[in-house]
Amino acid sequence: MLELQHINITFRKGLIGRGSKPVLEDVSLSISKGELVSIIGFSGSGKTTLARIAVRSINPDKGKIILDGEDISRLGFKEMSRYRSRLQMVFQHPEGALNPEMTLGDSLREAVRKAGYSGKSFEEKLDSLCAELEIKKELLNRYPMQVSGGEIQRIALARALAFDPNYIFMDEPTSMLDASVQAQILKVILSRKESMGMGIVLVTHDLDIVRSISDRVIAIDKGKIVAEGTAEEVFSSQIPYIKDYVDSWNELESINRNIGLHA
Amino acid sequence: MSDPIISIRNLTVEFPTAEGKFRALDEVCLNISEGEHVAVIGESGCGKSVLGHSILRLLDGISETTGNIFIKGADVRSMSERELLAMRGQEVALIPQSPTVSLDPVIKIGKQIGEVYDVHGVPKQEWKEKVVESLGNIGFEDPQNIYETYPHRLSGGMCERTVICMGMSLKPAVLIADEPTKGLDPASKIDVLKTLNRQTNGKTLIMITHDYNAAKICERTVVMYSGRILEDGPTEEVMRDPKHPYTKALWGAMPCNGMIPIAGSVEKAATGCDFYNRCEHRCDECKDLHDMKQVSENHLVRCCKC
Repeated sequence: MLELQHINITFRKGLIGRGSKPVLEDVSLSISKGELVSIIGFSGSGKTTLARIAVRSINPDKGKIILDGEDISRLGFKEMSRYRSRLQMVFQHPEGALNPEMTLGDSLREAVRKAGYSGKSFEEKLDSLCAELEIKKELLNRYPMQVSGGEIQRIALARALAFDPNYIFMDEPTSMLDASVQAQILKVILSRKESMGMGIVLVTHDLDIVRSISDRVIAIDKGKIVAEGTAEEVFSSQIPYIKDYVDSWNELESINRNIGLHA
Repeated sequence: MSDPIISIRNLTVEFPTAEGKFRALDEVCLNISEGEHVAVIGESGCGKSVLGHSILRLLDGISETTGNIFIKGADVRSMSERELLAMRGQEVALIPQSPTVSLDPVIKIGKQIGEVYDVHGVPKQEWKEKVVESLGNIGFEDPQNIYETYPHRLSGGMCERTVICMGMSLKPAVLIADEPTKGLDPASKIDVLKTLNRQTNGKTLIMITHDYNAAKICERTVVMYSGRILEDGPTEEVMRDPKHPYTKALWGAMPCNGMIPIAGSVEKAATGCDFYNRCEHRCDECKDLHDMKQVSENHLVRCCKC
């Protein structure tokens, strides 16, 4: 189980920090193996910051991160590298997630090597990842600039999956992708969840996805968890913030071309 | 029917790559009437953004183009540089993808919008007021303040509104919006769609998108695949009763419809239908390229099975 306990963080404004508001306030959550937890909330509510703290890409002011019973919240970069293989993250903007000066193949090989594969097993792992994510071999010679967002996102996910992580955080992994690539990527992580018990945290704005695949949903507003439960429980919540969010989504789904003309 | 405001005839756009020419648009024909709102949808890499950029001839020098584009009867491909500058922004404007990146980070919002007026010869004393006014019209509560702000202080939705404001400054007859709702939360999406709809009321809108919900604000939807148009019809009909196997598969990939990925990947066919290798209904007839066929009023499909 991965636990975040009483996480607090404030991004200081200026030198003195006067007027700074906390980005996350006393946030606690846990993810079990084989569970898919979705985090929803409007832009700026702290979803991405929470994911970044969980994978130790930034440090909280207060709070603990417990990975399978071990406290990893204060580990240094070197010590942390032992745990990286268990905890991976896929970032929001695939364009910015890969080194622009490396070919997609080199980026992927780097991850496979860091995951501890060499020689024959290295090639096998590379092949199996390409097969799993349907990455075409000729694509590996291209640079990120030369391929579509969907192709980059496949490579970014393959890099994370090379480690066979126990837990993966995905920050809006599909908001830039079309429905067919989105379906493909979600199917891959769902099958990892089934076959290897991977725990998944999905940060997304797409309630259609949340409804279809989440075991549990967490709603965040201004750095605090305001609701937690199954998709139905959270979506039917009467808390104004969630109502606003769900109503906007429903409005979006029922949108038609007369939208706004009456307003 | 009146003459189309935009008429595209056999437009082919190719990009030279290390592995030979990449054909991004393949003999595209499209007529758009004045006042029509058209959504162009399809997978990434299908050529929808290239189509938008080619209408304004923004790909000169990096691509090889054949075919014709007419805007109000004027041939865009034979326009001089000066005619092009006059046309862009005034007749047809384009809102680029990812506004957070498209906006210049070191220039204040007001000045960036004002640049449009500058290029079209409007003196600054005149445009400053106009910019503040249009920022107000687009829904900013404090336009004066936004005018003096840098892009990094705005949210994704606000940046999108800024570029819509920029695109609409000279009140063009046609607005091309490239993925206007990409990466936004539901409330911002609605806000952007309403703004777009209000601003283009009575004007022509071409919305390039992969967002099914966003497409719904347009009365007509064009589905592209591998540089070709496969289906073209009234949005409501295309969504309720898609005809082309690709459109059907695309709808089926949405989470609410079962989230079934389309098998295989996009590969341009040497001859015949480009969707051949992924299509469940393929047959020998698909090896020849078929013309768009009418299936009902204003609804055209490029498939021999329809």
